[in-house]
Amino acid sequence: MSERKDQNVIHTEHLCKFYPLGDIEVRALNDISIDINYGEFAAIMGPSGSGKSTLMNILGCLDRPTAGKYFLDGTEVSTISDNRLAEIRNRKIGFVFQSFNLLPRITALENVMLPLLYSKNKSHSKERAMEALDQVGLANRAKHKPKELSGGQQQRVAIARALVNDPEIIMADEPTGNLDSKSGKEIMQLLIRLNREKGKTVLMVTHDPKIGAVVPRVISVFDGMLGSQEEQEILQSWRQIDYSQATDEERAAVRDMIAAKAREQEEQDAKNGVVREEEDVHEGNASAADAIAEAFGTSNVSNGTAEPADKGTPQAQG
Amino acid sequence: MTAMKLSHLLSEAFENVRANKGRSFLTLIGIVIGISSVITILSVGLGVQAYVDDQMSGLGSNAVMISEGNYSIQTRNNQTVSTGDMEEICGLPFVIDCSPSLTEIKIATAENGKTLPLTILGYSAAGIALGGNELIHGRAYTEEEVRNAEPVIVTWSPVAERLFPGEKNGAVGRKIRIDNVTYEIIGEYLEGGFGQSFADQMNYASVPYTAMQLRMSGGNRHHYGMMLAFIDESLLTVEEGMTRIETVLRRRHDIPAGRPADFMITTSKEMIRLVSVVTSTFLIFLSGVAAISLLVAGIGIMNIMLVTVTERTREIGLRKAVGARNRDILVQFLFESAYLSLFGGLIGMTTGLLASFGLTAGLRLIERGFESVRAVVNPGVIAFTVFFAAAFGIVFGLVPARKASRLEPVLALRTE
Ligand SMILES: Nc1ncnc2c1ncn2[C@@H]1O[C@H](COP(=O)(O)OP(=O)(O)O)[C@@H](O)[C@H]1O
Ligand SMILES: [Mg+2]
Repeated sequence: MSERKDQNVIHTEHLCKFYPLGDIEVRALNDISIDINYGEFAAIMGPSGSGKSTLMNILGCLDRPTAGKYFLDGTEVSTISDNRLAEIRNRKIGFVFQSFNLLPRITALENVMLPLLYSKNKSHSKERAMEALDQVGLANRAKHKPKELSGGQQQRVAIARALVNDPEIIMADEPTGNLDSKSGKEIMQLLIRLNREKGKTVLMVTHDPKIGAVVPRVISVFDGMLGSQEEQEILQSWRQIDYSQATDEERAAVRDMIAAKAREQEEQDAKNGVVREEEDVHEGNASAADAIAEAFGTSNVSNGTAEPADKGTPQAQG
Repeated sequence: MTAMKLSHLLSEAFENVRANKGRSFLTLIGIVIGISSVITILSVGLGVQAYVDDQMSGLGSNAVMISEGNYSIQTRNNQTVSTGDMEEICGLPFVIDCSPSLTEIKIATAENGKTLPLTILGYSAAGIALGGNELIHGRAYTEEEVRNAEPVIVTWSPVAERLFPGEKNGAVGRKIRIDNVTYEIIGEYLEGGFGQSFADQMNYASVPYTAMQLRMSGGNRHHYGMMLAFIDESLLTVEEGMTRIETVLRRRHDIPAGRPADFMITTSKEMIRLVSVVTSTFLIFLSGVAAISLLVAGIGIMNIMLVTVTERTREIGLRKAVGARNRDILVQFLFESAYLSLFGGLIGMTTGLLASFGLTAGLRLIERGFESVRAVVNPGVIAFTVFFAAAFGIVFGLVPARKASRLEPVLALRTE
């Protein structure tokens, strides 16, 4: 995959998703243009209701945009048929959900085999599923039903299921949100390993700023648009125009400003002994953040874009 | 067709039906009742039809039946088929043979002094050969014996047994007296057969009609209540023969065409047809009742599948997320409803067959002629019913399965 290192596995142009609500429309996504490279490890960040899941569902080909273009691995997917979309989900994307979504009546192995059931390549299904289970360290639990496994083990089975068809991208919606501290860390380490060793593009959704603070790339969304709330507010007050028309330089400047302010606030807090825990910090997420920090270094802080615990930061693309 | 493995679909359907045992069971009851009543109705119905056909086939297909009077008009004279009528009909070139059908009830006395009331039928040699009568001992009376009005008698079991207890071979060669005339028993017929439905309560015997007219008191020697004429089908169709005979009788009775006749004439074919119309109408009616119970069962399947789809929305969303196409989901749920229905169909088939045999065993206990009814197990009917049960599940599973297949993956995954 190294030869494609600088190509985009995901490229979107002005993606919009509107839901009609009586006479008005809910703008769940508005003018989202992003690029994600092969092998990136990125997080979609934002508070609840900001449009993260909507964005990931469209990027995961589970949903279609109302407007805009989406190129996945070089294919324009926003207009293709349902059947082709199903095939793309099957071949190119592995999903990991917050609530695991394992089928309760079948074994771990059978759950992992599920994508192969709908795959064109069904050869050696069992062996391939065993191999995937082995990668997540659960080969010895193949015959167990989901309810006989712990939450962390269930999520590992779900990751094996996401891996079994050797997809390009792993999409994880709050993968550590339902886990305890130890499992959260293990799951995140697993995702990091897949990214580093297998070169998988990992795209996760989180509302947890702790994770956002350490992940190599953050895609902030707020109110259906790119950028954190603060960033959008500042840009609008500067330019008196739509945020989306701001230049990359302007965005970077705003982010630096926010980061500086945040550092100031932090120092102030430290001096006054104030502990800010505005969001409910989840232990699974907290330990996941530790795992990311260990693996990637606290990159966001070191390159000067660290931010307060309740804000996300969009990175310049590439 | 999807390349999804059949075995997987099967085990999946099995697992899901099993996982909801209680509910599946309740749904199955409807199908079981529907299918088993169809099987029972068809098996017993076909049995009754076979029985009736068997009984009627004893009539022969070339018989024309002429009876006195006319139920649709009032007749002054009840004895309208005279010996003259019969002689002329018998003399027609296309009539092979004919026979009156006479009945008298007489007390018979055996050599040993035993007495028995007998229902005695008077026939010609061709007449006695009718009626699905099965000779078990001795012989029937011959044309010659009819011509000579010989005092010979045949009995239907268990008459001989009742008159001569312990006697073997139908007491052939023994003598009985009726109206002071001694008759020799020359043969015995198996109980049942034409007109022998109440053999346990009544005792049947037959003598040549000529002997009856000549030797028994009270017999009307000049008129017959009913007569049969047998048409040579190589010369005429039975219907044509019937028309010709009617013409002869109208001439003899001086009744112009178009006026109601004082006799009724019909063919054995027509009688068989009428009876089979009655039995098949009955069958269709019962099948309709069974069809309604199947319809109710089908709605039950549809209902349970709709509930299942709603319950498993998340599963459907997940399957779609990992690559299932609409068609895959459709097939999966169709398979499940077909499996449910087929399973019910197989149980229904078993209970239906048991009920059929139980019912005919019950009928045998009732006797009165029903004892000869046997459930007819037609492999075609069974195969069709089982196939139908599966097809039925597919038809009624279609709406829920379509609903499942069209679920948007995003919405399906969102449901908690
Ligand atoms: N099917 C829908 N119909 C109407 N509004 C929707 C629908 N799905 C999402 N939304 C709206 O879009 C916005 C973004 O939702 P979502 O992407 O789920 O946010 P997040 O995952 O960031 O919490 C919310 O305001 C939500 O109410
Ligand atoms: Mg969400």
